Amino acid sequence: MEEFNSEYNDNNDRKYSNDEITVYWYPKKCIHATTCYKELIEVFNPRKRPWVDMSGAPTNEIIRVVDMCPTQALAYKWNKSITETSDKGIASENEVRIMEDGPMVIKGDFKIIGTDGKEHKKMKMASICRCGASMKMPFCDGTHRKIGFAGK
Amino acid sequence: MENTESVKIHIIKDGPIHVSGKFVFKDSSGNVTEKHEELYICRCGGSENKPFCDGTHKKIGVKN
Repeated sequence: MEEFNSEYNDNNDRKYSNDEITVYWYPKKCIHATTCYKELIEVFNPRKRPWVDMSGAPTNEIIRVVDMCPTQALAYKWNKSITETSDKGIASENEVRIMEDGPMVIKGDFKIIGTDGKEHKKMKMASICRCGASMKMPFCDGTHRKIGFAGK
Repeated sequence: MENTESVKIHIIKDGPIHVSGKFVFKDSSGNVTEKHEELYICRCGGSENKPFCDGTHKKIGVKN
């Protein structure tokens, strides 16, 4: 679980800028919910490299779609305030959210107790498997897409 | 009273996810329920009452 738990400062993290904002992508948080590219393929296109093209849409459109990301794998900051270290977008209240055909996403102050009774390392956000097929139990590893899991 | 703020997520062996505490619950249709205190969420993929557990894991003999 160690690997999954290191939420921040991963080498694979990416950032993409236009004149106004910088969009951050944290691959370890990404559950491939497909929201971003269904909403705005002109900017978020997983078949292209780099997969984010900041010239593809106006800033307000990009912000709208970044805010829709269910797991905060996408985040943004205004370039003006980029020196500030505040961690934007973290929910102030505890939230449990069910993703259609996907995992249960939790955000906030949670204690996760594993099947062995031991507490997992604290995380601000985690995706818990609902399909029964993850190889990283109890966390989601994206297998639900492979097996075609359907569930409200 | 200790840790009154933390929501507890208990992964039950061969069974569902037991969520307890004060939290906002959002279902897959976007419906929001404010004051949930306890829920059992299906983890085997087999419930007929998803996202909630209906005991199906016992029938299908889930091990996880």
